[in-house]
Amino acid sequence: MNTTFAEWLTTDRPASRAQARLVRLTLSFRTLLANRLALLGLAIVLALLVLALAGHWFVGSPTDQVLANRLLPPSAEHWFGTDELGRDILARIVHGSQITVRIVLMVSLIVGPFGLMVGMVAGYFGGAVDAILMRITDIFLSLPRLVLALAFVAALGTGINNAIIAIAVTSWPPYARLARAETLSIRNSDFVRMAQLQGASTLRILFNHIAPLCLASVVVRLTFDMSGTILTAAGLGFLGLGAQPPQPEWGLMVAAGRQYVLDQWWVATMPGIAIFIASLGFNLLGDGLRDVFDARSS
Amino acid sequence: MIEIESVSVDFHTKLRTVRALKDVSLSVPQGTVFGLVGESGSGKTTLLRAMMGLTAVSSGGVKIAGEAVRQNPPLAFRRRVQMVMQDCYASLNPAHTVDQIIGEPLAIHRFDNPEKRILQALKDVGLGPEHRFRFPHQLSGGQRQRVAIARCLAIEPQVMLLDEPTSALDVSIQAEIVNLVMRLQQQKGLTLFIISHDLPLVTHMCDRLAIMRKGMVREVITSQDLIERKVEDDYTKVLLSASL
Amino acid sequence: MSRLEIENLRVQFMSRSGPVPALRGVNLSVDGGRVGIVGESGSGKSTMGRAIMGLLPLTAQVSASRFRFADVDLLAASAAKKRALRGRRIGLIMQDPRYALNPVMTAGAQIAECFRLHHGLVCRAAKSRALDLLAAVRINDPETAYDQYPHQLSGGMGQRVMIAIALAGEPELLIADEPTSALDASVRTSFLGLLDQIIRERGMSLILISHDLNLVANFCDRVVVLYGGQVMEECTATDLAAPHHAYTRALAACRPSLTERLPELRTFTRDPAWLEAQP
Repeated sequence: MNTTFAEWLTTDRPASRAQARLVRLTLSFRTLLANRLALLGLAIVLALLVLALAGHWFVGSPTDQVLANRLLPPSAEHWFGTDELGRDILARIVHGSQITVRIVLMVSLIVGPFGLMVGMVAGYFGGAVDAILMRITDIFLSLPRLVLALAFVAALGTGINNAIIAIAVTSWPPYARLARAETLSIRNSDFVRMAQLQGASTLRILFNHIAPLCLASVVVRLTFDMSGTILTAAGLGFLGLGAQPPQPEWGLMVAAGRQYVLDQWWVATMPGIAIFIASLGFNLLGDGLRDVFDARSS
Repeated sequence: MIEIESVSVDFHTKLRTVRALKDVSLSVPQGTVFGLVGESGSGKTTLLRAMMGLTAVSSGGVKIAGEAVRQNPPLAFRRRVQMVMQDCYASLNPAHTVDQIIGEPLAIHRFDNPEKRILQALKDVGLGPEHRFRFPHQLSGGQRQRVAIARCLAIEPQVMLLDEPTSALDVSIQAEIVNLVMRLQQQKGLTLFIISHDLPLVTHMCDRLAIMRKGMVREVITSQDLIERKVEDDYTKVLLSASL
Repeated sequence: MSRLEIENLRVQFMSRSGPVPALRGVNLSVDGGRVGIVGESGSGKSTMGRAIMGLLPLTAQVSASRFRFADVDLLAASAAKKRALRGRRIGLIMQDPRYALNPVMTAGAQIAECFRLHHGLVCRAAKSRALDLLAAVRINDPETAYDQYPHQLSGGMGQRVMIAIALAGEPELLIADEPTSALDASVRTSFLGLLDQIIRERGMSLILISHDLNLVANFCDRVVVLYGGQVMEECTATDLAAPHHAYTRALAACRPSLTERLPELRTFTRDPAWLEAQP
């Protein structure tokens, strides 16, 4: 039974659309598995998701203060030590993963589709539409990302949601440029012309023919940028403009631990390591995804 | 079926105006196969673009199935007139499976029962269900051109324009594709308009053919007359001797 | 005359899914005259030309029991030695001048570069030799063509410039890979006339690689028919009118003809035995 199911999943003559899709997924997954580092990336990202979804059942509250236990070093009771208010750092990191995952997912879901749309429309229509959209993109691109995010947060007020909006607003331009470049290279290709000759509407051409081809590079880029998003979110938190105390946001935790870094190194280091590992995971996964998409197109 | 009446096409550049087509008139009755032979720069591609409503004509007009061709023609026109391009690899979306490629025109023109029609179209061009979920890069050159033909036939057009349909293929594959196209033409009573630089190929496929040079039709001749060398135009003679 | 001797040449390309054979034991000997290599796509005919020129990619594995040009062992030769051979003693004409010529150099500069490289000429001498060569390949106005960029040249002109570049090193062997398939029929005739004249005048050997049985039969003395990386048949061009091998016969028969109109073009099924016939 097991072997026949494996065969069913890898057959080169699937019987239905659903099976064809599963076969394609299996083969892509195999390409990903062949890359050890990508596998490590995937494992980290999955672990982060599990941590965010289920981690809070296994640790204590992130805001319980026990002032008697201030700044305890890592021990059997507090694996990662405690911070300046006696809170368990492990519990805070686990709860903080929820915030990180939420920021990363929300930013990606806003930035990816928006950048893709702007780029595709600019590239496909060209002319004045292209000029206007790309000049707007240039304006956003020319402002330093963190400074612009700071300005937005200052205007909107602090908080995680506003941090998400600020990061999204400042990080869509590269996606628009990417999607525009891809669209330009396929806009005049024979298969797009063929679709026009068959009577396909502009919307249909954009979504059915151009978007799938842009999507690969956008997804890869998104994965790469997720580490940047984590760092920006942490940076905003560090500056006191993202999450607010007592929220267990990783950047905020590093900021709070800064004043103890010489004597109680774990307070700043533990959330720092969490940021580092999460960023690394997304980067490695992005590398692997690029291999998968390359293998599909060649 | 196809009426081309004194069509001229001018291209305007900053410096000058280039006349790509000069007063071209051709007529193709329904259910026949017509060929257009010319070398590069003869204007055959421009004529094709004008027939598909991709290029504006400066004077004259093209009628297909009694309907004047204009730019951005209605959907019904697109369904009646289909085209097969030269480079079959470039004309198939690399991200789509054969299933999606053939299903696309069916969805655009809202045909019922697409599942059945896709399988039938594959069968018509001699491909099996095992090819249905492959991507273009997993097919051979001949199979790709078969998919391109199946995509056109799926929506039951009346007229098919073929732009150098076999010039990217080996002769043995070319023979298979040509036989397939001719068989389908007979079965479905299609009107075919074939553009090529290959005089022997066009002579084999077509009932009548036009020789074009520098934007003008030099001669319209039946294949039979060409084979019997009843040729009048000097340029046709040059092409003929170069092709032997 | 320098001989090209190839015995049991095998080339395979390494890919993710294991080695892919391109040539499986090919013999060829060229000692003056014109040899045509005919085959369909995937037959290995272009791999053959590149193997002789030493232009195969790094993923290619080449082996042969004998693979020599004149006194040079092409298998063992160093990169420098192969480079000295390329252009200088073996010239190459490629299929499409639009891709084979450098788009940001004028046609003349590309020819003059060959003279500087192969003969050590300085600028002015190289230019005058290049102009001579442009005239030799029957370009009407060499002075104008010298200063034109490849995109300003027509297909036929571009292909003549390609010949001029190949001739600049005064090679003993010329390899032409599908030299006419990007040209119109009427241009093709005059191009082949020029190639014919130049080869006769300069006493070069020629290897003409083509998919066109007709062209090779008319232009070459000897013909090698490749299929699936193996030689199906080697015969004189005149014998090609009545070929021995079933594959050659089938290939010749499936071309549309201008002398009779058949109800259908002939097709053929590939016999697996064709590839097993040889050890």
